[in-house]
Amino acid sequence: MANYSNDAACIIGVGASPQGKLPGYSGDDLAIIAVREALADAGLERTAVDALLVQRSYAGNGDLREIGHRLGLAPALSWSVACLGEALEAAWMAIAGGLIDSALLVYGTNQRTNRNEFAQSAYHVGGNFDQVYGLANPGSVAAFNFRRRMHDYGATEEQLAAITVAQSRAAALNPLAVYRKPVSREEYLRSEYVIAPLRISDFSMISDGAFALVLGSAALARSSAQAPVYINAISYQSNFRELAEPDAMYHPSQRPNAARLWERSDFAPGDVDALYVQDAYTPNVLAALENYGFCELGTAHEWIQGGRIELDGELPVNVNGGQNRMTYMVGWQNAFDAVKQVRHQADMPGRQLSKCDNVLLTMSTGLWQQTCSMVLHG
Amino acid sequence: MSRPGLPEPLFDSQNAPYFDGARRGELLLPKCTTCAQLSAPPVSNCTNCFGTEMEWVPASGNGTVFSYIEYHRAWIPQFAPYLPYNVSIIELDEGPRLISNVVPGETPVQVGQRVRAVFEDRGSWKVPVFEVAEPGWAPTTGRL
Repeated sequence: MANYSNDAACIIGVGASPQGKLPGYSGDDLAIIAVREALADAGLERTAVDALLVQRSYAGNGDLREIGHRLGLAPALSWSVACLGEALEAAWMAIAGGLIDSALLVYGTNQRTNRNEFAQSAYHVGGNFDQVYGLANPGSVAAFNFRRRMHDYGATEEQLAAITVAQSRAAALNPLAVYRKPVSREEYLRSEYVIAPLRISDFSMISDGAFALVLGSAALARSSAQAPVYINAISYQSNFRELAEPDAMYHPSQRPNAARLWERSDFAPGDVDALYVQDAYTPNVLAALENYGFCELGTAHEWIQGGRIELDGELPVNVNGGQNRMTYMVGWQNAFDAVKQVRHQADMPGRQLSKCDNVLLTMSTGLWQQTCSMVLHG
Repeated sequence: MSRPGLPEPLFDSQNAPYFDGARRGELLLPKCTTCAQLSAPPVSNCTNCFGTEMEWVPASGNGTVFSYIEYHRAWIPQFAPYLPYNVSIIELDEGPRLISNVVPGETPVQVGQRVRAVFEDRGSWKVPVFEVAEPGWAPTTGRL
């Protein structure tokens, strides 16, 4: 087992650009806005940052060297990454391992303005099998998953509506949210299928925007401008077997990820005040609730009923509105909001959770090949 | 059978024998000569033992619907005339899982339903798709 200590790294700064449709800005322009806010939040000069990690985006945005150049940086370490989990894992390893004291992480995109259609499939099916059979959009994976859940455990589309209802209510209170109109169960059930059994509001929106995070060592955090939000424990797991994995429908990289997280963390599922799931598609919320031990496998679609995951519920989930209602920032919006909630800085009345000491943040790539999770606390 | 205008397969170093077989009405799978694992989609090395020698063996063409979805949007424009259309994960009796289509018929597609391969014209080639093998079959909910 690796030699590391819990709480060795913290999130000491967060920043956001505007979100939505932002013509006239490149993804990199938005990234710079978010970086400026995150550094000011941390009270850190940009040249004091030891590492720069940039997530690539569509249309050439998010090139590490371009962003580094625009920031005028000469950092000791730098990485180009493909997802937030990779960025957090790398930054955490470098800080917890004592290589560096601070890291700046950023993602910016203008893929709504650029009209990215997400036609590509997520499964690696070989040749052009996806084109041949009409398999398009990564949402196909979540749709296969929920269909199978309907068969295996009797889940219904009416039950799935609870996620859209909860997250749309939360988004209504979030000034950064792109879609702020609450959606009722009936409206959800009347909405169009995109890839049945999933409907339009089960899918992540496509939006422009950027987020930035500043991570620091516990030592640096003692002198940072804001109260640090500690990374108590971090966990990671990949699984590239896709359909060859016997249990392909129930998030095979997330279950071992959860086991490792709880083994390392000083906290247990019962200590978690809020859960943030990277919800490119709503069924991701169900998988996370089961795999991280909030309910038994095959029961999450029942467990979420009755307001349990809403702002005032037993376990608030994605109280920023998630990727379906807040903004499509591939998990970054969740890290940002989790920090704000733990600091008790949620910006609108009724949006701050009354108790939010410990947060579970989990993120996975399109087909769930890579999962990263962490327990954050104040 | 045929659905005019749908994409033809593209050949690569891994799948040429697969489509040669399909044109003859045979569903072929690569089998590892070391550990005997069958693979789908076609691969040129074994993902189980990492062996490098594969041979092509015929599969029965029989399988079960592992999961299925229905597209109401044509990201791939050639499928627009066929909306809404089915895409399924078929678990072959030999083990491997294939992405394919269950072609429209009188019986609605269900998880657990038995299906069999038929070959659909795509230009000068054919690709395996599946049809319902037991019309009238009704599923019982519960893990298969």
